[in-house]
Amino acid sequence: MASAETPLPCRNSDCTFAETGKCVEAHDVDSCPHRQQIDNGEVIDSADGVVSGGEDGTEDVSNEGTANRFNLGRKKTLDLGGASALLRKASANLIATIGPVKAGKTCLIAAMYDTFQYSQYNAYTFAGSQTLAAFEGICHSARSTSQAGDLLNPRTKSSEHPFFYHLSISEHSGQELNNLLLADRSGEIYEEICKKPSVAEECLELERADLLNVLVDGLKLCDRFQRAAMISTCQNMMLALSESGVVPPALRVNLVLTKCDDIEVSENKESAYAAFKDLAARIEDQCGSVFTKFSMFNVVAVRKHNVLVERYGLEALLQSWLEPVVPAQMFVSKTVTSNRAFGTSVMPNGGTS
Amino acid sequence: MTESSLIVCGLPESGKTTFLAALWHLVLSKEINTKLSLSGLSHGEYSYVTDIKDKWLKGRRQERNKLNTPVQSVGMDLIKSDEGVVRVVFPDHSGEAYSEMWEARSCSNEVAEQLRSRSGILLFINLNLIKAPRPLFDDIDLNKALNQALPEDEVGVPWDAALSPDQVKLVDILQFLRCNELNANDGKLAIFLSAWDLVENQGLGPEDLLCARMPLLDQYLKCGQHGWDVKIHGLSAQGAEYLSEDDKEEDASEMLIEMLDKSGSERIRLLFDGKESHDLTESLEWLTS
Repeated sequence: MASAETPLPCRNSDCTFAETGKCVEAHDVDSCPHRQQIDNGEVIDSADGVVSGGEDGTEDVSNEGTANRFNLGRKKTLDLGGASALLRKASANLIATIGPVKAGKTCLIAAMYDTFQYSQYNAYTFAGSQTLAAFEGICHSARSTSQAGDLLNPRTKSSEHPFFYHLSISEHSGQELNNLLLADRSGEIYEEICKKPSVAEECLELERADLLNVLVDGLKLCDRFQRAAMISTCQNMMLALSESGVVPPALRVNLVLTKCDDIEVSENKESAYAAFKDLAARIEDQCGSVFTKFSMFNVVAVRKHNVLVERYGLEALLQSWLEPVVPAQMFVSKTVTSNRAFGTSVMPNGGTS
Repeated sequence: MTESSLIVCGLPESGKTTFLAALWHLVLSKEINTKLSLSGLSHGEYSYVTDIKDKWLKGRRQERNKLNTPVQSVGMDLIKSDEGVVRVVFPDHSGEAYSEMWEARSCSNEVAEQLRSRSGILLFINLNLIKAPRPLFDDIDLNKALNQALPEDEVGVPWDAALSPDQVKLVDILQFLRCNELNANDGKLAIFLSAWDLVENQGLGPEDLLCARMPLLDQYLKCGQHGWDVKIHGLSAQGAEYLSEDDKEEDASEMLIEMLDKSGSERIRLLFDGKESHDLTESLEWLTS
């Protein structure tokens, strides 16, 4: 262990790197967010909370600023370092969202934030965010200010690492704050996991997640040419994840059906909803012993048709994201028979059963 | 003598300079009894505040402070009844300086230093001019209902920070003012909903109107985790549309003529805590307590 005169190469005082050369959190040394640089016995890198690089136009900023300018040190999204810095200062639920490309991951994240702008949550209040500019960027395509002729989903650029959005939320009834870190990245890597499960090891957000949203594209379930492939991809993804050993034990999983307003206006509406239930049953059958709690949600992130209430299903989903994290040792493995659904399911009308 | 640096902040055209002009007239003229009164003219330099005060009295719009012009500071020595004299300094930054915090995520070192050492904040919001968010779906739905053609460009314009709703910018500015980088203390925040005469017909008090028009900002303030001690005011310091520098006097509206017939102090309306007064120093008394 380090003495007062010999600083550790890692800001995490529990880390055994100095003795064993291995990161206690299983990070690669080069990408460990806690790593310090030591020179002549002195720490020369104290970049606590300062993050570098990033996706989607995040700038590399330092607190020194240029001549006559004071940099406010704010980023757009948080990278791994920024997310870790936040987790060291405050508890937060880390929410990972996976799904094929165009399933609506980024739209869902945008909608969860944007709902606060219209004060449309009954039970939750916005208390702050370190990534307001990033949220605004992903909300833009669904706003009037985009001057777009159609509601198009923003494409998330491919990235080697995940990035994170931050929300601080309080419940109307109390003063306690809940922090959410919402991981995002382009969906290609999640599709890669189907072909090569070891790719999951690159997804640090899955390793650290407190809850996993698995998005199922409702629009594709309406399309008889796309339906079977969509079901297969999601099922394949979940099987690969469950066998990868990457996800933490007792991980909660939400199966989230997106674009429900597209389903409601489709002539294949019944088939789409039936396919979603069938997918849920398949996943439970194959993976139920690994993921201890499954829930199903139907949502509309970006409304395209006037058939369901605005922000449909989002508050129930947000409630699940804010549930306190239960330590793994409090769970026992559940053996679920194949004709039983999940612990909680959310019906199309938003109620639970 | 104690000194308080009170930062007057807000987006462009939010009423910051008009407030300072009206305040200077109020304490200089002694037309009405005020909580704080002018101790004297020993602060030294009053050119700027005299110019803006005169414009305000004549019913002429203030020129907008430009971003890169030197910051004008307004200083006043005011007597607090049981505490002696308090020197109040208001650096009058342009609204663009605050927009810049959101858009460029930086500010000048001078602004940063003043924000760091401030005692309190006066935040001005012109509810009549704010940009609110609006879903694109509403535009598309309306166009369809009216059988109008949709824009040909499906993708639209790329995102720019300036396009964000004003409530988002103000929340982020308030977060900046409390961030670790500035290392400023907790403080009092007086919010002024300016041009109150243009919005009061909605029948809501200042707190309720802020909640209705800027729900994100309202939620942020109510959550109580930000370290601000907040009071919300309605403020009308003009009461009518003022003339530009080039307008002729005969262009004045009837409402403006009615205002000009009043004394300067009587034009001022300040609403807070369920009551109305002409005395702007009531908010300063709270900010400096």
